[in-house]
Amino acid sequence: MKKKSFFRRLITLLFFVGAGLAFLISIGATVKYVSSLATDIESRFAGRRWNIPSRVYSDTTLVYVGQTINRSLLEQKLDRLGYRRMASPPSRQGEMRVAPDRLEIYLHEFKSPTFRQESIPVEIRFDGNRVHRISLANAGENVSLIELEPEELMLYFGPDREQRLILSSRELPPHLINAVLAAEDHRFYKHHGFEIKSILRAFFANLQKGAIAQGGSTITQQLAKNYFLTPERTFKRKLKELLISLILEYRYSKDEILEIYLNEIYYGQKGSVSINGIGEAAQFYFDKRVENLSLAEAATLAGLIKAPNHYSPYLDLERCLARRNWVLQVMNKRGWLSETEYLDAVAQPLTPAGYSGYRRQAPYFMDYLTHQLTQLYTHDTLSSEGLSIFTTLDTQVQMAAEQALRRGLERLESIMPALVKQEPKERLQGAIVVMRPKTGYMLAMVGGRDYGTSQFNRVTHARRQPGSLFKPFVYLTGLQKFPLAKKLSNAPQTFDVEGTPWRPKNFNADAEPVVTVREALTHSYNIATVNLALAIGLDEVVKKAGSFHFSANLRPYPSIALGAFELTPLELARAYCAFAADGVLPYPLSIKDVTNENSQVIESRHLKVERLTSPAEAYIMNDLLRGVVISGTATSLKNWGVDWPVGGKTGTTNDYRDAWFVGYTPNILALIWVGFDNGTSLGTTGAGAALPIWADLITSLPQYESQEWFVMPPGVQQTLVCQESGRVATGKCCPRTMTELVLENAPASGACERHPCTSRLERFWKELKRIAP
Amino acid sequence: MRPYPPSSQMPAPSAPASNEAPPSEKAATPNPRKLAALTFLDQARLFIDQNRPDDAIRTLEQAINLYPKSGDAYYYLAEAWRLKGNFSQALEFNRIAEIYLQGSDLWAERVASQKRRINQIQE
Repeated sequence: MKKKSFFRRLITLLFFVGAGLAFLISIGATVKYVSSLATDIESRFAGRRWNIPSRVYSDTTLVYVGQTINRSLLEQKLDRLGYRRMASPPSRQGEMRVAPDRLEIYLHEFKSPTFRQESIPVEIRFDGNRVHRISLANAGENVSLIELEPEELMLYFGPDREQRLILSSRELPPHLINAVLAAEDHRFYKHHGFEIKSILRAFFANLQKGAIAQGGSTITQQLAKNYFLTPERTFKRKLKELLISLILEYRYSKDEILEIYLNEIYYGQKGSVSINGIGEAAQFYFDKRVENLSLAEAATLAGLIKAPNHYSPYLDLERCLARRNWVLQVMNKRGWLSETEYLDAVAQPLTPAGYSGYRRQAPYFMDYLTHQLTQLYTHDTLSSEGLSIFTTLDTQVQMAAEQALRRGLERLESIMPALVKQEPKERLQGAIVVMRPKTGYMLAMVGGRDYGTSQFNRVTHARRQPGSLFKPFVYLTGLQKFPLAKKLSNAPQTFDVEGTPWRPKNFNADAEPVVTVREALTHSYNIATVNLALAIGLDEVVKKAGSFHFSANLRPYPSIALGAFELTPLELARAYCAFAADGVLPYPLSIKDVTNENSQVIESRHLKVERLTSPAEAYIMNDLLRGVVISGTATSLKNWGVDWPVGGKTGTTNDYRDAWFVGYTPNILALIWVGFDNGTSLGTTGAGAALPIWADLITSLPQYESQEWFVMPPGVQQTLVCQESGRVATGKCCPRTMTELVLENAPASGACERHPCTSRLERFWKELKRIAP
Repeated sequence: MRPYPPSSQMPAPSAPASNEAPPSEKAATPNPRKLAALTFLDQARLFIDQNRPDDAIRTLEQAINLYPKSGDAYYYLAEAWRLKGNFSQALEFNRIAEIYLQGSDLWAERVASQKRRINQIQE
């Protein structure tokens, strides 16, 4: 009996010890779990809370008095910038009214370290396509120019494809906070993360249904659920949500929790991109920063939180309006709105801003840019750190270039049906690069006919023979020794290339057998150019070409004079910039500035130049290339409507594999390539295939037309030269003279030695002999 | 929008380039690009005075994009690069300024003086 009692006591003791131990262990485990949860929360909040995609912007757009513009392109740009066309005068930012003689725009607010645009209404008056006057619509004050904000071109998304604009609690207006609290959790500042009443109500409702159906969530619980947990509905997850909420409330202030919550919440879809956070939502739904939201707009956004796609004003305006009014009603009931404010807000119409879905623009340029950016930043940085990348791209030029290439290739296919290929990847291709020659700004890049079919960027990666486009570099090399009036043999001949005979031909078989240096380039004669290159010395040509940083391994063969090696279109365009930039080679700029998410500049690229030739030589090259357009291989430009001063060069390679045209003014340079990727013959020349595309592009950009030519620099003069020797004419001793440009102080620019005038008598005698031989 | 005042409030163009249109023609039709570029020039001068060469260069790029013959812009670009301590770039832009400002004795002297200053620092 005693023994039995002892065992019973022992078992009881063991039971209590075991239970105590189990209790202690479970307490320990709970503490450990809570502590690990707290560490997890802190580490996630201490680091980067969200991945913010970096945004790529175009350059700003200037509109100034006296400017001739393409109104269609400007209006398209304003559409892309999100300006909404109204029938009445614009009354809030992002609206515009288009009339035949004027454009009224209520400008968006835009801030960046290098550009600040206030939200003000402006009126642009036109006289035809010319900007006649720009005035501030409110003040009636005239201004000389306005600068439109840059266009958002692309976002570097991470895998989540979320768009978010982060705000701090200081930026949130009180009426917005009150609206959110009214809609979601009016006791937010009073509870400790959860509401026992709501939980019990939800618990019994769920018990009845046998599953989690009701949430009863506070803002803290919603944050715990959205930020840390999966959307599954289980009791275990609900318990975890409660624990996280308690930790959040213990560790963070109410304002911090609200700030994180408002930056975190999901706000609907913009195509395939999700809109997150109230800052981005304010832009998406009302095209405003949060501080500019009206009470009614704030209530609308607050009402959307519960089910953004269900209540979206883009899907059901009436439903959204009812929800907004309910929020306003709760605010009024809680005493956060006076009766007058409530009635005013309820009477407001609901007018969402409208949006266009996310789309990628200028895809080849973006690939080129991405390549450069990834030398500076990792892909992770680009998709998470919210950088702003400001570029040189002019979207009006880009659109014009894309249109010109499409139209040009279609035109060629329609007049030459043999060029039509059924297989998409075998179709006729083209490439365009447009630059500011003086600053190296890249304005547009079209690397192919259709990015969807082929992402191969022909501007930067296609290695093609430049053909005659290389000839100007031969002539540049010879400027010091060979005056422009110097005669060159252009007769058919055979050249010996390391024991192998080579017989280049002129495109025009009836070409003059003897031509001047100028004529040889104007008409792009092959034989005369090879003769010139040989006379200069092929090593000299290679050396000079090398200074332009061509990537090809140039060898001193005579065929180099005819561009029989491979280069990319971008290299060629850049090299031609040196002619238009007074002999300095600009570094091609695509990135201007990169700023971090705090708007601090972290990278800046500036105009930088490298002198390759003298301004005098560059001026002569410009004059020679203008001659190509006036009377040479590019005379057809005027038939395409280009009647202002332009320098240009056509190029066609063997068997018509490549058709080129590069043309420029002091303001703009564009290079066009047309051909097949596999080298199939085009059957037409640079003038036939590429030049019309250039003309189409440039005539659609009147804002880049200046009607001006280059200023003659010191070191070059226009004078009478002897037609026989090509040197400066000696009084009247040279029998036949012409006006030509000469380089001062160049070996080739001395007085004519063939017709020296030593005395007046001799001159008289020679003149006499000339008149009466 | 930046507060760009009307061009009439801008300082007069400093130095006409020699090869441009004759004075009578210019007086009748002021070049709109040139007038617009003056706005940026004015701003760039302020940046240079405030020892902000990067902002000055960015603004001068705008001026040159608008009006590539702006000799003043190249002069101030040289000045900005000098402030940044890049004397080879400063000399290049000084050389270009020389081309476009050759028509004005006053500017020619300023450009020459700038060249001397850059060379002196380099030495």
